[in-house]
Amino acid sequence: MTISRAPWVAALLILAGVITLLLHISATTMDYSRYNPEWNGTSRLFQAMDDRGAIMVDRLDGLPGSGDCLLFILAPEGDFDAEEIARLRLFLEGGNTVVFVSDREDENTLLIGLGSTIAIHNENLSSVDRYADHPASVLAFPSQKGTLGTGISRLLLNNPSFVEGGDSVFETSILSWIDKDGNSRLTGDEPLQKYSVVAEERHGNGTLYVIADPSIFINVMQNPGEGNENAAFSDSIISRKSCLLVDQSHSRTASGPLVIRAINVVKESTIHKMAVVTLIFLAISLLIVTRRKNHD
Amino acid sequence: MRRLPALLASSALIITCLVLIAMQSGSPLLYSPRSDALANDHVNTAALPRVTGDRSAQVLPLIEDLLNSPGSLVLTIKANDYEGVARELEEYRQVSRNLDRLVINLDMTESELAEFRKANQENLHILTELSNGTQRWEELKTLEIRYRESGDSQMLTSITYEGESLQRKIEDLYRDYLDQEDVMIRTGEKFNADTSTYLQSERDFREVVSQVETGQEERVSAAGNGTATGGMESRLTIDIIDREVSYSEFVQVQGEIFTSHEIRPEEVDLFIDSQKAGSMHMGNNLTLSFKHVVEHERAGTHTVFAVYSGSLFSEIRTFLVKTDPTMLVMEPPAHEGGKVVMMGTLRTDKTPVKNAPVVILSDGKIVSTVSTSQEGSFRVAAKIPPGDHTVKALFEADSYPLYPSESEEFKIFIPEPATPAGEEPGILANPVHIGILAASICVSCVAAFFYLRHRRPGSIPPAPVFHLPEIRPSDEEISEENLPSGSPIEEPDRISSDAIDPGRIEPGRDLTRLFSILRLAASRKLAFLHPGSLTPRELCAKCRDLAIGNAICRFTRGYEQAVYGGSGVTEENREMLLDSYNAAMENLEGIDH
Repeated sequence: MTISRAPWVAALLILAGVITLLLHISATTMDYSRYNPEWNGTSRLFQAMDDRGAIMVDRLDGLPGSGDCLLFILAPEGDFDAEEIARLRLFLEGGNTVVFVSDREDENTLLIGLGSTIAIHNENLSSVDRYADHPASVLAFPSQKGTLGTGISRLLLNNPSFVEGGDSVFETSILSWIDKDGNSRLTGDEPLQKYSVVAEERHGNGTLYVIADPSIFINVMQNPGEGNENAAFSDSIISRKSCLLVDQSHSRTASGPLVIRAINVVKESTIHKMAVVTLIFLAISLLIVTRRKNHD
Repeated sequence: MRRLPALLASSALIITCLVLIAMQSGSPLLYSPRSDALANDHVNTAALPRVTGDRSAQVLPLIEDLLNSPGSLVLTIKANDYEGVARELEEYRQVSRNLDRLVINLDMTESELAEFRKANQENLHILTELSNGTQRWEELKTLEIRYRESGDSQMLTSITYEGESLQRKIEDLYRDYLDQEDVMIRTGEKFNADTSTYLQSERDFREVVSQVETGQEERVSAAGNGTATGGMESRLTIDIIDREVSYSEFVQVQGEIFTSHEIRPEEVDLFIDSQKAGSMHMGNNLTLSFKHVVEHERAGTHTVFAVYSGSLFSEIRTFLVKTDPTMLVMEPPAHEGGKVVMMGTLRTDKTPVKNAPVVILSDGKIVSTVSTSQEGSFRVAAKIPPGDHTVKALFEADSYPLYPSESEEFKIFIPEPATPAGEEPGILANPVHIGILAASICVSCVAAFFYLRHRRPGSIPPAPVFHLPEIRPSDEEISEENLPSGSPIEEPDRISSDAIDPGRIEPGRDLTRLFSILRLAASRKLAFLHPGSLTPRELCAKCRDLAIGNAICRFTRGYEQAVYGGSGVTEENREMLLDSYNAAMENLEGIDH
């Protein structure tokens, strides 16, 4: 009996090992990744967007010229080429909405290309009004202007930048400052003032929103705890238009492990699905033929 | 053969999994969100303690209150409602204390809000002084009427002089109040507070000053420039040598007195700001002189007059105290005896600042306050918690005619205090630990004793013997093998070849009996546990490295061939079995000797 159990035990161990390995290599802790279910991923937001039938956009040149869509560009990286910028501008001016979420000054090139006066300033924005015991956990409050996030009483920011230009939609309290010396404290040469973190600007028939903190969309910031209205803010964005497009061509949310990307490539393309099914059938047929030959 | 690759593959997978887990849990051993709280772009707020949110909601009303309070207070002072003034001053102090606490709690001690706080503190001081000054002014007005009615010209002169002093003081207070305007209005506007009440308070303050100036002018004219009393022949004059002085300099007052009476110099008193500063000394040339060192006088104009014998008054003179800059120099902090030692000097351009308070700040928070020596030096040993800190010294110059100053900032690192080797609390420091240790040693010793005793050959309990059904042992064997420990056993130490007929040796009986005897004897001599359960091969394996191993293994091989192999006991085999048996038994005897 003992001898006959060994192959089963070995098989179970191998199975457990394979599952563990697969789990490990298919999980990720990448910042903003939609495949990252940890605190710094955006899996929660993407689940909500999937539920609302969001369309993932891999190429910006396929954007419609006119319509009533909302394009969500979250945590972009890499340069947008001139053709993409032109396409985005056409999309925006055609009556669509673009919600651009970035804390990097590099993206100002794109904003300039879109004809926007809004500029992102990547500074160490700190505030006395915070929700956690860390200077980066800044609170923002609605300004008089703007229509995004109506009814939201405050936003929880996480290491935000700030924006200049456009109409301020959310701004920090007056007890905020740029921590130039990085000592996490307010010192003499760091004046207190309000900083805009969400701004709005009209472009033709469309509207551009610039949010200077992509971190408000990570899982930990979307947790609907007491006083946390970030999830409601996300909902207000993704439900703003019936047609929701989510950029995956430049967004860091698209980054993920190879296994998941491969699975997604198969999932999202009928040709790839057919190819995989054909390969499986071929492999099984080959196995059966080989065994029969050996048997004979 | 198939098992080996499967085993290798599963082992490799398990090891890989363990390595991956180890990599994740390397440091710290137990995962906590706090250990994973920081990423490049954000912090894990779930791992951080929550704080009260909208704190600006507490600050803004305070700022509005502090901008409004002076307006109301000045109006009440102007109305001479001193009960109301006392009440409003107390409320003003309370609101100011709230701001002080908030600024410290929010760690904004170096911010522009701290500037606002300082300006507000100055305003509180100014308005308290204004309240005292105007109250005294009203008293003087009452006294003036009384003395005028009684014709007491000496007291009228005294009142005039005190009034002069009060007027100058109130004018100075007004100037100081205007100095705060910039910070107060700028901060108020920044926080979207209404500053009109504060601006109105300045106008009301100006009116109070005007009232005092007008009243004093009237008093002086009514007194008829009464600088001298006590007879036309008596006169007391004073002059100030240097009318502009700085910190630590002397205000030198010289005077002359002409009177028909005999002069008693000790009765010539000098008043600065209506407060007696001392008596003037008579020199050889019959001139009076007085020196007053400037230390805690406020910057601004001060009044001086002299009075002889309470009846002869000099004219009023003034001098100006200038504000000097200060330099606060601190040496790099040093560690000494678990504390941080900071030393330095505080001085003006010309002189050290003595007995002045110097505040030591660590990360903006006060850790110590020390007074300077006569040479302007200070030294303080402060206890600062471990970690990185920024320290500096600060001189606030609250009651000095000096500008505040602060030293250079120093970044220091305070290491975690290392426990001295001699003081390290060892495991034996706690009596409970000693008890547990002693108990565990005793239990271990007792357990070891019983274990060793149990292992002695003589004390091995009889083990149950299992036999296959077809090789049933005889009653004798059963009785021998189940004998109680230590009981004598009759063993045939040697069996001659004649004793057993080769043709009659039966695999199931005689040979088995020989094996049982040999196994029992070997087990007793070599202290094997459970001898009855030893197979021939196990017996051989246990004895292989011993001197008897060869004989026993030879016997067990022959035994297996005869009993299990079905070859039976041949003549040659029989001899070999008996020889092996005898050799083994002889060797076993030899072990005891």
